[in-house]
Amino acid sequence: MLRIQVDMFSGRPNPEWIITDTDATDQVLEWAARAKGAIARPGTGHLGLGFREIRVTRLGDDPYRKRGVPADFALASAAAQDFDTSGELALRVLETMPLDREVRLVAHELTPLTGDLKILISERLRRYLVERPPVSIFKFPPYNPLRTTIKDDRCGNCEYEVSQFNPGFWNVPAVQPHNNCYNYARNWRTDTFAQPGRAHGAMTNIMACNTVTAAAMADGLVKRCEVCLPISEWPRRLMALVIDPGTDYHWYRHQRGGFWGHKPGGTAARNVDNSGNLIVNPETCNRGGYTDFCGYFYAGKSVVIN
Amino acid sequence: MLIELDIFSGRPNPRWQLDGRAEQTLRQLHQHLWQIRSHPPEPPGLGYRGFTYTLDGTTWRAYKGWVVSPNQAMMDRGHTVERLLLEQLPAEYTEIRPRVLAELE
Repeated sequence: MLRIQVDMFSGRPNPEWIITDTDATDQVLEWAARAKGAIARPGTGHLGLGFREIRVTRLGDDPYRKRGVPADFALASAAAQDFDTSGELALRVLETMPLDREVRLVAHELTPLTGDLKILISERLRRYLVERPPVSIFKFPPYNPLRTTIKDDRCGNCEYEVSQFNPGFWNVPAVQPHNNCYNYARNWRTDTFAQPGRAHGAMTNIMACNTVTAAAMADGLVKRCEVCLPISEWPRRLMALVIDPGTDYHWYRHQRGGFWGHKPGGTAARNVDNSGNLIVNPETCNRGGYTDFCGYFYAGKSVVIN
Repeated sequence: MLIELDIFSGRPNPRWQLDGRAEQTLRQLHQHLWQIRSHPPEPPGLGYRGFTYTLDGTTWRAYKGWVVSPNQAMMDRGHTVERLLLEQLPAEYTEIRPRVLAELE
């Protein structure tokens, strides 16, 4: 399965859809595999207002590279080496946009997939391909003494941000009961008791490592060290997923100071485990019945949860 | 009366309405609990954290033989409140019943 997102709006959710058909999925990946210079890293091209790129994301929990094509890539990106071919592929991918939605996404509430929208995207894309805006120079984020960028000690070429442990933000009556471990680990108060995959029509009821991982990756999480998130994804979080088999899941977030924070369900955010010890390693801390350690993930700013 | 079994972290906790008969039984059980000046156990972060409900405007948590509100702590040695509420757990949550039961023994 592939998630296609046309990155073009500022206020409304971007148009997006899921390609569920295996043949269509393989076809898109085949195009990308044959034209390597046509694909670019998402978020590295034109970052201004208007049409920016078409993002293609594989939703399966399979190895990162398939036929040499990364799990996430952008078409019609100003950063693509072969911009013309990239634009041609983007137009082809646009043809996969369904008007009768097989998979209904949250984004469709405000951005329904209509014939008019398809025409609008096509017009904007064609104009963009003619004008070819320059690659945006990303300004390094401002200095923030409470948030630090660190190199990942498991893979030196990846970086992410750790922020000050701030339970006071979460442990108030208006916030605490409505936000869970997934909200805390992603550091996004949605007040919806966010569920992995729900924002992208990929929620699961099967409580196992592979299913919850796939659901979270549909939201945009990537596996630690398999993909390094670019600085344009700042702030980037390191999250850890554990499972109480068949029953529930739980997430932790790496904090500034070398320890981990978490928020068990509607209870208070904390940085200690079930034994009351500071969590310095989510793999070995006391996790009660959450016995399966599934792995680590990065979550950049484009990860949307609900 | 709305009952919540506080046990999950990611998924929403089981919540259900107590029927009138069970609610009456719960009220009777409350009358037989006795207040005690001692510190009840703190629920853990992950795992079973008790049942919560609101009775006459006061929110209570029944956990490990204690029934606690923000201002009172009452002893329930036989876990009568927790056992009553566990019996009322909706069928869709049958798989977690043994786990809670194990915490009461």
